[in-house]
Amino acid sequence: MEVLRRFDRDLLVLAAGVLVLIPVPLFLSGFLLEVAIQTLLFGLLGVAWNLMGGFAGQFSFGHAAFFGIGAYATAVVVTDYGLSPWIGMLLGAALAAAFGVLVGFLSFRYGLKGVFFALATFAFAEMLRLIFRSLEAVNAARGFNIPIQSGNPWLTLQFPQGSPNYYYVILALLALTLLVVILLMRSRAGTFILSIRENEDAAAALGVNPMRYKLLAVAVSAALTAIGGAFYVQYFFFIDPDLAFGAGVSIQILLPAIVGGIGTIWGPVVGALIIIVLGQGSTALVRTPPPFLDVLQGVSGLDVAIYGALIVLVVLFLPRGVFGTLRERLRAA
Amino acid sequence: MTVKGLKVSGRSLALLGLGIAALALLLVWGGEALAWAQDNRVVLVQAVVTGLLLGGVYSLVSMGLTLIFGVLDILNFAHGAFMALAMYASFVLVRNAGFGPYLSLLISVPLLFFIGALVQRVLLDRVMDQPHENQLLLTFGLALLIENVLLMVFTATPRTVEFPYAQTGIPLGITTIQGPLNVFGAVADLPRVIAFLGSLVIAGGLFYLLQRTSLGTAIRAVAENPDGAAMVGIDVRRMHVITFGLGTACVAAAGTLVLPFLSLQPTTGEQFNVIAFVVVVLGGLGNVVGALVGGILIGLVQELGGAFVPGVDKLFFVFVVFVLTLLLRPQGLFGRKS
Amino acid sequence: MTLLAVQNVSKSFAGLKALQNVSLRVERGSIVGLIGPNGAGKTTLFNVIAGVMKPDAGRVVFDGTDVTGWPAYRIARLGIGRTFQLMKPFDSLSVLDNVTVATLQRHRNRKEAREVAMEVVERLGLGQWANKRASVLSTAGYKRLELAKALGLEPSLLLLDEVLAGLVPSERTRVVELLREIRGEGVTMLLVEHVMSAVMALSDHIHVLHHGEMLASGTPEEVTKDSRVIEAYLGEEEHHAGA
Repeated sequence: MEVLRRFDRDLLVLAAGVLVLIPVPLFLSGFLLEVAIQTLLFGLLGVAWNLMGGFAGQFSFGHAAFFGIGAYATAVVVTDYGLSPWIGMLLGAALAAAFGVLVGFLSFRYGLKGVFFALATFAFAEMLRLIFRSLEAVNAARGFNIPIQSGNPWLTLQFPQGSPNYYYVILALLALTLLVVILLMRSRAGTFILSIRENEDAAAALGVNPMRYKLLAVAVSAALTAIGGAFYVQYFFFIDPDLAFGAGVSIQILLPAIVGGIGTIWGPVVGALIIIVLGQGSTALVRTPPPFLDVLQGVSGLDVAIYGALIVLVVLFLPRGVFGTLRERLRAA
Repeated sequence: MTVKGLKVSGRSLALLGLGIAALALLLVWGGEALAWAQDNRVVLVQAVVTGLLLGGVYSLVSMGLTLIFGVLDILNFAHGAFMALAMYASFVLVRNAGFGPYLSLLISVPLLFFIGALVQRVLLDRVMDQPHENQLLLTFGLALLIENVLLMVFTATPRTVEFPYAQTGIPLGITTIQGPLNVFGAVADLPRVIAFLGSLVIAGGLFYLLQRTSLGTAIRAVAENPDGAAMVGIDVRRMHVITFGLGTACVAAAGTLVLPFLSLQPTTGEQFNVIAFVVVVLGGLGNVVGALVGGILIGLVQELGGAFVPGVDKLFFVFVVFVLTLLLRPQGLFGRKS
Repeated sequence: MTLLAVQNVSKSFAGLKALQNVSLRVERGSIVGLIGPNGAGKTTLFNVIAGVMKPDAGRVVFDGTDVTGWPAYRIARLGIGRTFQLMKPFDSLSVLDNVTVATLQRHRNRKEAREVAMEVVERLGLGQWANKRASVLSTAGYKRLELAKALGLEPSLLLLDEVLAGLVPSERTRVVELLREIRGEGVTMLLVEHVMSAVMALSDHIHVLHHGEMLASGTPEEVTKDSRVIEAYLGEEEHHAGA
């Protein structure tokens, strides 16, 4: 299937998907609604990561940096300045994009590729975590508790607990993220980004400026990830350096794309769903295990152990991810 | 770029710039810095001693990691997890079988050698041809799996193992060495000294193995030229398995050695893992000597950094070195593969 | 009218002198051949011209503009297209997309770029694989794709690095004819080739490179009669025969 036309079809799928997902809060509430919200958030982060890691081919092990910047920007703006979190979201997106361009420029300029690049992104995220842990200006290790704000709930992005409005917001943000990524990959810039991933030298020989388009992908990916971080803070009302910049966060961000299908539009969404289902399944299993698995009662770590096993299995047997492999099979058939 | 006809790379300019900046800082604040150093002599000497002792352990851990990379071209993100695994194995032996922690080396090291060899044979062998990111991902998944199974079995409660010679001191024939030791006015805890010495001994053993035995020669041959090695009849796959086992055995030894003075949790290996990566890049990927030197250096950087700037997490300085190395001298201090 | 002028270019790698004081000119509308034994420095010279490497000394002037040290993508945009000896296709993209990357430089409209790319793809005989992944092509197909990509750029100068290597004679004839057609459309070409018959047949002018130095230049007849050239090639053969 020709690449450019594929992305056209994705727009239709997006529209249809959104329509189908809008009425979900009518059927789900309470705990299940929370799960749905988290799935959509994961999907957003995964799609954002995939732009840089999958489409641009720049594997990032440190996306928590962007997530955390978005989260903290929102926390500071809301807590210290009493402004709307939407401002924090925009500010966070801009700052994350700037940080991404800086880190990306340094790395690309000095020829960091592949694993070295991945390790460098990991190092930068960790450095941010350590800095924020020591910086009093952002409450060091204590983090931020988001205060309840008065005013129009859509402006303050604070709804009563369990409100379906959170769902609508994250659905809209996910749709926006997908729209941005689809439109970008559909455009001239998107074709150039793909060509750089495939073969940077050949792309340059055809007039494509590698630095410019790689940085473009990084900046957009960073901004979208930061938006996810902003939502996180508003939904959970709390952020600290580990929750924002921790290595675990970077892993959770890249996991959906790996599992679902790196370098595809829908892979990360599918991956997010799989991961959440497995996660919830293992949590339920641990809470009330069947008699022959009694030993699992109250044990922590099962869900992450499963994620680990999942990564191993995917790399060994499904390097294109679940969605990616399915798509290949369908195409060949 | 060219400066007056001289070819100058951006990188060397950056290094030069750094050097000039450091020199300038030294000249401007050198006097004050010296006075400060005099006043804080004790703290600084302590930092050097602690850094050295810890650095020895880092060296051992990193040598295992760099050996694995040099021969198999695999960046083993599960290295730290194996360390934790070894530590729990020793812990169980100490608690339940009455072993002394150092005696448990006799079991933990071969056990982890075997486990590492198995992992290579069964899992990693399949991804040898895949891009490095996939291998990193695979070993990362493995790390998650191992650490969380440990979490499930042992929970996150910190475990400790007592240093057996704390009260009695180490009997050595006529004398008994009582800790802690006094080194130039700094305190050196006995278990740390033992870990340091033990690491050096094992590192020495590794060197001997690599340089003086036929097995070591075969391993080095595979690292240099896998195809050539295969052509002269070396079973390359077997060498891979053995090497991975050796690397894992190194980190297992390091883990058992630090058990008497660190508290043990499933995530204890993580910090060593990250530091090992920094050391390996600093020393040069695949360069065993580089890992040895790099380990000591990073230990010093960590402790001295913490001494100079008390407010910040010591790991920060390690990461600064890491990023600088990646940018300015990615091949490491000693270059790759020796 | 000189389209490309290489002036006193030198380039070394870790002590090895790949190019020493090399100069050559390519007149607009001509086909110039660059030959020489293996390791003479031909691909290095291409890399310097195309901006993949910076020369240690000397200049490269294209259409009156000094492009020495320019990055590869800027030189490509200026109008120099090149093929790679070790082919570099965009494997996961379709054959059509491969060429579209090039045509998007001159045609900002996606649809237009795709249409122009399709024309190039058809012209190079790759029409039936247009929507298939580039990875399904045979080596000969890859070679044609390399050429198609470079042509998609609508270059005024085409650097061809062994486009005929590995092709069977019937395919070769087709490519040679295609090159003649392209010259007829006003594209200037500098080609590195080992297939002597093709070089002699196509080139208006030939330069001979040996051990990084310009050994001789002239018309095909002059060059083939040049004793130094014969010796350089024979010396190669003797070297190979004796070893």
